[in-house]
Amino acid sequence: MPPAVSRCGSSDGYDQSQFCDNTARTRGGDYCGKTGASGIGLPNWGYPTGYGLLQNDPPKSMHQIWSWQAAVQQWESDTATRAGSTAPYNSATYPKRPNTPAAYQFWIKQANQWWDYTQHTAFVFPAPEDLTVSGPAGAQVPVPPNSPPGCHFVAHTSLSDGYSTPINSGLISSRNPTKTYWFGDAVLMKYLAGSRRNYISWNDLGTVPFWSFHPENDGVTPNVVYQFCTCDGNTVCQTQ
Amino acid sequence: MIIRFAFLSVAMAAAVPAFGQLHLITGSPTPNYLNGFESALLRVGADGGVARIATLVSEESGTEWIGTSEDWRKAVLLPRDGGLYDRVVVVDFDKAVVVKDCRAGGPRPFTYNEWLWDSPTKGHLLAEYIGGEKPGNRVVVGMLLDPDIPCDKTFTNPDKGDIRYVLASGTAGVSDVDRGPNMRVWISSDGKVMYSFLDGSVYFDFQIPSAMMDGISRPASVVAVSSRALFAINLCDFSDPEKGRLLVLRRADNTWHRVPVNTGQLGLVRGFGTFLAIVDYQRKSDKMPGSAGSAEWRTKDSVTGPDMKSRFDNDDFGYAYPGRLYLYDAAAERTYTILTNQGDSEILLVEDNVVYYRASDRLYSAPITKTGLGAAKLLATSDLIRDAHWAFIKR
Repeated sequence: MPPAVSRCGSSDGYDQSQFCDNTARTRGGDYCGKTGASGIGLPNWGYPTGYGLLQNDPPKSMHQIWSWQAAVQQWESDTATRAGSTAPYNSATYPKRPNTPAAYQFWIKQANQWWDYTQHTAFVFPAPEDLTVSGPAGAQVPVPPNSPPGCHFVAHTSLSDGYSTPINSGLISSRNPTKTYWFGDAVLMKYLAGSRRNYISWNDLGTVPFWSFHPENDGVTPNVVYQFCTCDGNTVCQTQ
Repeated sequence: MIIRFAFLSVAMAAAVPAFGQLHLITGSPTPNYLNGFESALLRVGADGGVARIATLVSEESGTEWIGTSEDWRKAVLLPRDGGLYDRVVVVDFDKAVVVKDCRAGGPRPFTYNEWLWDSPTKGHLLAEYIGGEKPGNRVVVGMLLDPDIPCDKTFTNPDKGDIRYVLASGTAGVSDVDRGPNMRVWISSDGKVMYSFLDGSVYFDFQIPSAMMDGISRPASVVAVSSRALFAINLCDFSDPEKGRLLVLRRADNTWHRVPVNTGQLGLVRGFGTFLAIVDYQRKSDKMPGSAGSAEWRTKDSVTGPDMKSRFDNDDFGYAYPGRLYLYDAAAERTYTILTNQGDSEILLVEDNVVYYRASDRLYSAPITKTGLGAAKLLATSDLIRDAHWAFIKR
């Protein structure tokens, strides 16, 4: 999970706003909403607009409001819970089942459904824009068309690697400008942003399936994942 | 938890079945969305009121999957339960109550597909295809749905070959409200139909006549409906997915028929006895830039269902729904048309020659006669009806 996610998570939606400014972004909060125009300049304090920067909202304890370290530890714990396990399932362990909830499970399911599909397609699949299949046994999922350089999400391209296995190519830097990210983390980022729709899904409902991308965060930002991942190695998080 | 009761009068004379009570089930189990919705059991009263009589799955949990069988008269719901996916809830249509509620004893590993199987050896069961991406990691697990079997003895490992006895009632709702049977099948050059597991294929006990495959060189196909009366496949050529062809096997005389409706790529089809209910849709265009009836759509999520404006506006397939429903009687080989002029419409039930359908927040019934559909009657109006995608009549 890119460490920048937590930093940019604090900026998404409220532009790192610490004070009531009587705009729509802070008026929705319990505190700024009640104070109205008279509260302009007062600290933005209270769910759902937060308790300052990099706070859990709502906090799990009073201690987390005052202890930045405790807040970060809670965030890490919550993030891990939402991410879930990436451990591969081993039939030998059945019926003992791994704890695999949430984001990573969702992506692994999508990757495996796609993998199943390519295995049963006896001809080269007529690839839509977002998916290239080079043959029944080889496949790649390139960068979504709207992802700019430095924000590349990929999947493994061979069964030996495991299509749904996490990818981590190191932190982005001037020497490593093409860092790739794992799609499981893109799904997780949208979970954390509170979005209603998954970042990527294998839409297998119809006769001809396809990859479906939804980077937007429900009216807050057109691409919350881009906003997150551009924080990784940059001093300023970018938006589209 | 927000508890709401809705007892809303209707402007028109109510007409509910005299022999039993009409019930509805709410839910929006599309897994591509992160937020969950309550699955509630509703009863439509003789006075046109809609009463919430039970919460089957809470809003906090949401449902991952809902399967129903007209033949078994049961609904099976899989709650998300915060990502555990280990609970199975069975509703009996004859009693209108939950008759079984079991936990598998731990989170499920990656589940790819869920189906209802009418296994000749195990009986009625929920089958789940689970595991990793390598063939050796895949396994089918199941839960016996017989309410008399206690939870600690109900989980089983069915034979994969029993997938040929799959029961699929079709796809509920419109615009990504339900993912349907989720069962891709492959058709060989001689018309044999098979389902492929990673470690082997299972052939169904029938063959599609070559005449039915005319013009299709590379078939792409999914199961639309599988019941004791019918087996329906939505089919197209890979090169032209917009021209969907619905082929139906009438099991009574083992004959194949082509339904005279273009079912497109998505094939929103449901089965009720010998009837197939079909939702019409088309690619968004200048002529039809959006679905019909937008003024009526809910613009925010509710406890029981999604913001349909957002669903229609962001339809993954880019489809628009004109508010036209088809009803194909496979026994008589006859097609009926229902015009609602409301994109958020669907047929919920066909029973005893009466069709029950929903248009936005209104529930209607219409008799099916030899000369066509009779006049529609408004049964009830309620915000809950927007999210009611399954119906049954308690006996």
